[in-house]
Amino acid sequence: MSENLPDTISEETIIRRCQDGDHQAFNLLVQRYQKLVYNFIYRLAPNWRDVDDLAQEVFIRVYKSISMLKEAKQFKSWLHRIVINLYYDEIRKRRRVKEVDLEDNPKIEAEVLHTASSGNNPIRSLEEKELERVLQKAMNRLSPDYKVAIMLREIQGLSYEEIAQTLKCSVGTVKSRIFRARELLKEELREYLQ
Amino acid sequence: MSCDDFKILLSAYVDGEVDPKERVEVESHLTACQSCSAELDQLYRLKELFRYLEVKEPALGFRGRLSAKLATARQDLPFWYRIKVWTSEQLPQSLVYAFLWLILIIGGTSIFLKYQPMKPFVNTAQVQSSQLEELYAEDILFEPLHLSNQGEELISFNLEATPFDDLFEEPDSGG
Ligand SMILES: [Zn+2]
Repeated sequence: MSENLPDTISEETIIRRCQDGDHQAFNLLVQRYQKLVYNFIYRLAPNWRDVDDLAQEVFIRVYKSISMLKEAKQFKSWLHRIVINLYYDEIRKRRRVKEVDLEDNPKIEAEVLHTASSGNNPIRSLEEKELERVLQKAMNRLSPDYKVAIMLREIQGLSYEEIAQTLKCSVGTVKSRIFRARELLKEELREYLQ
Repeated sequence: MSCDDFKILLSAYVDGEVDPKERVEVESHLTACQSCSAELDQLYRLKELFRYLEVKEPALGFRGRLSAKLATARQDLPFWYRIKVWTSEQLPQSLVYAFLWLILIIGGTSIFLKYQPMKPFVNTAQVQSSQLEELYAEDILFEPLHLSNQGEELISFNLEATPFDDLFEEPDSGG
């Protein structure tokens, strides 16, 4: 029965309230980050059919452990770390049960790509859609470490320092993973970069 | 530095993640090296491709479905956290804090009152024990209890066996 929270409330306050078990604050936190989390998982694994469930699992993990987050300032890195841990967990799980890899089946791939609701831009040229498809396909071929590093930078917009914090590695490692990822993407997308 | 060394720097450069010294080095190399300039163009084009990735959103009802799952997840939380969540749902936070303070004050006061009579007693005992040591040295007082030969035992025996206040009064102060 906490009082209504204004939309302008600072992130730090929201997080502190979540740590106190305030449901309304948690709802606001989900509202603010659901797109960021969902889109990130979708881009990491566009062929998984349960992105919605995985995004919800992220918020359940956040809910269970937010009381242990020491610095509200580090929430974004911490949230990304939860997503990435979940992503690696899922890769292991799916390898164990040998889930069919959809990557090389263009028909299914196209179908799955359609199930996620798109952003608010209904008029996109065929060329733009094609570029999106080839880039996503090239990223799907990257190893998880490279994929995560380049996506944290290009899709999630994190600085090298924030990525290092998220992945618990050095800025040097971040720099080199992003460089390698780009080398591989350039190779895959050669004809689109002329 | 070779062109290969510059290539790693170029990747950081397009992200604005080089320090001022590296920036100067990269830029002066670029004016002299065509291959690295071409590389830089490609990096910018690659970066631009990411703009074509639409932001995907969860389907409608995402939070509704999530809140059902959270209700289940709450059962796994530690007991103290569930209480915290429950109170924050049912009561205004200020009231919860006021209540906690009240408990703390009442609890603190009752503990204080319970142990208060011990205070002067313990202090006096300490004073007395040093006095006793002096007295031992002079072999004047407590002659019959000397049998135990242990200062501490002697004191605790005396403390337990006698009412608190009157025992340790200074002979002079009582008047
Ligand atoms: Zn060069």
